[in-house]
Amino acid sequence: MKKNLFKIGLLSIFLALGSCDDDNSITEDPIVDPIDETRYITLTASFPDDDGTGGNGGTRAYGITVENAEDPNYVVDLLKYENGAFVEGIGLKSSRTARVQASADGKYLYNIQYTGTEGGVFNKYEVGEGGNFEEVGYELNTAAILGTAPRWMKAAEGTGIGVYASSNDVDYEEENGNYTFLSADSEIKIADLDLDQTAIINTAIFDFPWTDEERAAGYNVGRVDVPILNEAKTKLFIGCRTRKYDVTATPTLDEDGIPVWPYGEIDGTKTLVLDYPSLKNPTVITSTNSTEVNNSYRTMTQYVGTDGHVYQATATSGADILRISSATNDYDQSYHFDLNDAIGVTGAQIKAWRYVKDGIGVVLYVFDDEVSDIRGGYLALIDLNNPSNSVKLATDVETDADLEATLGQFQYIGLVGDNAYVPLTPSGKEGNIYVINTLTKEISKGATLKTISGSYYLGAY
Amino acid sequence: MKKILLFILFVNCVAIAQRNHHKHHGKHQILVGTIANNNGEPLMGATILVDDNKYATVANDKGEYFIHDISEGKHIVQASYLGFSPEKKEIFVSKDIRSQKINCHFSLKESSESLQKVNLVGKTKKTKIETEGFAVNVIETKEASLRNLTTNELLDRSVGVRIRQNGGLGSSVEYNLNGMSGSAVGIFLDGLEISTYGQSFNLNNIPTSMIERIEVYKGVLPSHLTGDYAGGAINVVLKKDVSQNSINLASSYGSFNTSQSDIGVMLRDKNTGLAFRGSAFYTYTDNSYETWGESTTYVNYLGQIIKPYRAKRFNNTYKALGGRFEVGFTDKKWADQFFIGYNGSSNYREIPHGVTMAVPYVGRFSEAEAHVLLLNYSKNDFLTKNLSLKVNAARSYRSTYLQDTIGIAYNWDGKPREIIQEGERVILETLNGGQQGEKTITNTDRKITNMRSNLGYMITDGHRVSLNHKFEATDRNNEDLLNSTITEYATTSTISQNIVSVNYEAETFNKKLLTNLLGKHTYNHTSKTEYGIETTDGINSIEKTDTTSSNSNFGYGATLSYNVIPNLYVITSTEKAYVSPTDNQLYGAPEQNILENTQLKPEYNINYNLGFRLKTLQFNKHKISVYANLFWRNGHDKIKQEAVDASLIEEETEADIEVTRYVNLGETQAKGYEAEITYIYNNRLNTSFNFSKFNNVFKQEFDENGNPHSLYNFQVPNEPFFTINANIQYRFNNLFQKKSILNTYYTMGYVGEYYTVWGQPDWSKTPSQLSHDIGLSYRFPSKKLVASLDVKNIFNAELYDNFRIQKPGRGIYFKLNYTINKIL
Repeated sequence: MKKNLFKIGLLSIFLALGSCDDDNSITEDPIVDPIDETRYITLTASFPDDDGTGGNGGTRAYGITVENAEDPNYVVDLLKYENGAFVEGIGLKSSRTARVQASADGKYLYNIQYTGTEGGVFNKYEVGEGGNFEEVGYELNTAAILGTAPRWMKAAEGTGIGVYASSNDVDYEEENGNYTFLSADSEIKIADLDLDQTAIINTAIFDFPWTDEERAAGYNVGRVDVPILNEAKTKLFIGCRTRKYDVTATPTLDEDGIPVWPYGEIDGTKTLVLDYPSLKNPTVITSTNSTEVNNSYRTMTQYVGTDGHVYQATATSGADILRISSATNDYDQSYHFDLNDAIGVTGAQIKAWRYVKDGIGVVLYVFDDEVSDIRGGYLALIDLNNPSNSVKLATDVETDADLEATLGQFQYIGLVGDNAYVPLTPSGKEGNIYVINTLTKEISKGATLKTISGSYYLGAY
Repeated sequence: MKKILLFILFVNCVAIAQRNHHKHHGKHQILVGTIANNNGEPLMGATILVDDNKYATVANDKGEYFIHDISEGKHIVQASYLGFSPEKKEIFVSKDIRSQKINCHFSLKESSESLQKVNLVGKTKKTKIETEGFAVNVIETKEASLRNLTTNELLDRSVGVRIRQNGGLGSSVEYNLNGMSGSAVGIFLDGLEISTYGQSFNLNNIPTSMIERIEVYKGVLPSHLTGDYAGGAINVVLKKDVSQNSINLASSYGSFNTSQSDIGVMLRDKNTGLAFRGSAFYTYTDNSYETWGESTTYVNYLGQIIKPYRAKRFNNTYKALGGRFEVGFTDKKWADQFFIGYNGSSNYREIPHGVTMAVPYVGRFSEAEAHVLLLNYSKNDFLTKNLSLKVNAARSYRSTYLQDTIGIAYNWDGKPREIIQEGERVILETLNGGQQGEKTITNTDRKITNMRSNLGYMITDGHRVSLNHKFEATDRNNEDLLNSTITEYATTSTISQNIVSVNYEAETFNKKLLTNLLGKHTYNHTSKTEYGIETTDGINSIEKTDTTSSNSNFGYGATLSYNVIPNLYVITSTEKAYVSPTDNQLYGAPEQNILENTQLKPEYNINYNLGFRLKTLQFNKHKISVYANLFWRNGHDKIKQEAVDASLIEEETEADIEVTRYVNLGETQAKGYEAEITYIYNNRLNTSFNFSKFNNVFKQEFDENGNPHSLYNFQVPNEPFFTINANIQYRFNNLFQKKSILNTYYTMGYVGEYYTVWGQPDWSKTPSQLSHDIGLSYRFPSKKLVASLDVKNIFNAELYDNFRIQKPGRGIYFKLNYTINKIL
């Protein structure tokens, strides 16, 4: 044993010396690729599919400098179409709109292809200027765990989490036209992606952890999304599309002769919680502050704040931001931010948002068409610690009804230092990047964004 | 003759057996037995399959067989021999540690569908049809039937036809006629929709020797094919002639363990006019070809994709068995032809992957079966002079079974994939318990009645009117045998369709001008039974509701052919045609992952064709003929298959590319041209060259803002639009033997590159493809025996089709044909 240790020691010294030599030879070598340290902001935009459905055809990306992003005279024509081909930027691999995430420094883009011939394939790109992107690392096959249209997010720097839910058939009993509801369980699958090494390093499969009472009451989760890690990286919080069948009602029969119960009211917004990195011990936490669902749509809607708590929006239909305490890893029922109250509106729905720092966040919202006649898409700068300090920010395109539709697919608000970058383009129309100085609460128009029919910008990274 | 047949069978069977000779380990469980006929005579070469091909072997010259290393448990042993009814027996291998010997003997009965055949020398109708004014080309199968060519391959080589197939032999096929495809294209067998005959009786396995000719109509259809098709139709005309008593046998064997055998017999008693036509086929292939392109991948336990990867396809066996037997009278006072018959078929198809090659499947398969009763009647001068009647009717009982119950995910090396789960490296389970989606066992039964009648009247010489009626009704029943997600209260529906069409043909201007006017009225009727829950005085009961719905439309068309100078015809045609959604498009098809869309409207198309046909011009030993056509197709409310939008459906399990649905999609337009030149020298060298190019463009003029659409008039992605085919054939007479004929063939096929998404990103490119096939066939002096050899894709090129599914590389096939002309 001692001999072995001695040998290993010798070997280590030898290796250390050896590598010293190598280092020397590298420094002497004059041919070294200059590393481009420029902070590029990547813009993404989607275009129509081959049948003309807007925004469904795929995603293009384009890298611009921060200076250009802030210059209203700088024009980005990412969807320029000449002779049957796009000529600017790079087409991200995806037959449908990609779900793109990025590293905090903007150097890498991560994408999982959404449906299409390679639906569920993960790709990583190193960002460059214009269309000068390079694919790096391994492609990953996530489809076997997450399906070919995966819901996934960067849950922390370097960590991507993909989630999947599949509802079992509703279990029931029938006798002479009298139906008794039994359960509507669902199976959840989780994949942990190492974004630096490009590998799926862990997965888990389990049934959604309902209690017997909840199960019998008709609870069901058919979709989960927006996974985030807490500050300590010990817990994973996952948003749920929580539904409850009204099991006391008389069901109707569908085409297959299966009973379908109407939906009832849920008792609160629910979040699925897992231990990390083991992905074990699934539990559910419930907020009494809202009955909206929190599974969002294509964009991240929960963030770890400067204070260590997780802030979760009830996107994309609610106006609430809820807090999950860093101390208890459960909802802080005493905390409730309501966008309607904060900026004095009614019927607001948070479509996307980003936490900046010290309780300050940028919110993109629209109005529920059942509650309000106001159409368009709007920006607000909110203060989670002092809601009354929240303000609405004005943009040139905010009243455009076509902007409202495009916000449904909005993915990412860019952040460099204290400035937030929000590309806003109504489908098929010209728009701009809006630059928000989160300290001074000033908003200004940045680069001009051109589109083509059925296309719009999805995010700044 | 018998020896040759036996030899071929022997070759086939040895190949089947060889596949299974790699399992040798553990204790010895031996299955032994003999196979004999009723008289106890051994059946050498009989096939023994255990558990539907898990183990297989053939009987030796004493009729004995041996299978080693049978696994524990229950097994079904099946013995079969051509001309005999197969028989099944159950055996049980116990968990005994010691070696066991299990005996299982068979005595097979001769089957009624015994070895017989038809050899028909049909009088070609090619020229007549091709100069009627329709944009049509007629493919004759006489040459091809002696070679190793499937009907689909033959079609793929003809002008303007592109076969898009999901893999190797037996995989599903879509026919594209100059950019029109899917439901817009009708596939007929003797004028009745081929779907009537069941999924198991299709152009993958109907032997070319059963076929007289294939007519391919682009756009405008003649009245005897009026259906709901706007893109044209492929009509396969089976051999009809019974003038000569004959038997024809053919058997082939080739790469990827592919064997195809068919047999036909034709008999007629001259005194009574009683005639019999019968034919049968058997097709088997493992499709075990290698793929090595970008779409073949290996995924390691970290989910990392390694590609390209070289793999041999598995779970891709295809078997088909079919027969058609007709009995009746010809040339009687009361009928020119009167036949009743039976057309039966069954197939077994393993499904190796979904619509892409991303994930290989193990254990997903479908079985189809169809029993069809046929009636065929034709009479000229029916009741009165110059009146003719034709009736063609079929009653079909068909079923499709689908099974997918294996819950382990596989890699292209044939082994289970692995993954890290809760920190441990384990075998990866599939997403939803089956290979493609949920664990499934479903069965769909359809009862179809399909009848077409034609009454024609010659008013005076050169003027003819005809009245056509087509009736089709489908009764369908879906069963979920595993999940019972379908209950007795499931909605049921019956769809029926009546089409009445009239056409008027006139030959005028010295018979130089041929015109044809067509009108057609389509009436669709659906009756539906739905169930609901009714609550009366607090008591629930099940109520049944019957509803009916119908729609109708009127279409029209015209053709014109003008014989400008001898041999030169100018041909033009136009039509406005409606296409009603099909059963599958409306109500979905679980075995094909199609969701229902009951909101579908019929699409309508306005088509124009303008072209010319230069019939054979001869100068000394040179013969040349030319055909060219311009086409312009305008589709409205076009029905197209669409991947289901994940944001539209609540359950993620359904948000999968494997699931599609048919939708109406506004305007489309295709413009293009096709041409074919044939050159023959000294009746020895026969060359032909054809190409087709079209522009299928995006026709949505304005976007949702009312601005001109940026993509207006651009080529729609994901469709091959440029194809070239060239064929060269050279005949050597008396080369090895006097009176022998050696034919040599060369075929080239080219498909231009295309992109699968807008904007032509490199990663979506399907590269251009060029394949070369060669072949030869040798007719022995006796004229009874023809042997042929074909090498397909000789340069082993990387060929792709739909969604980058790689097609087979080089393949070698050998075939023997034997004909007896004078029997009885």
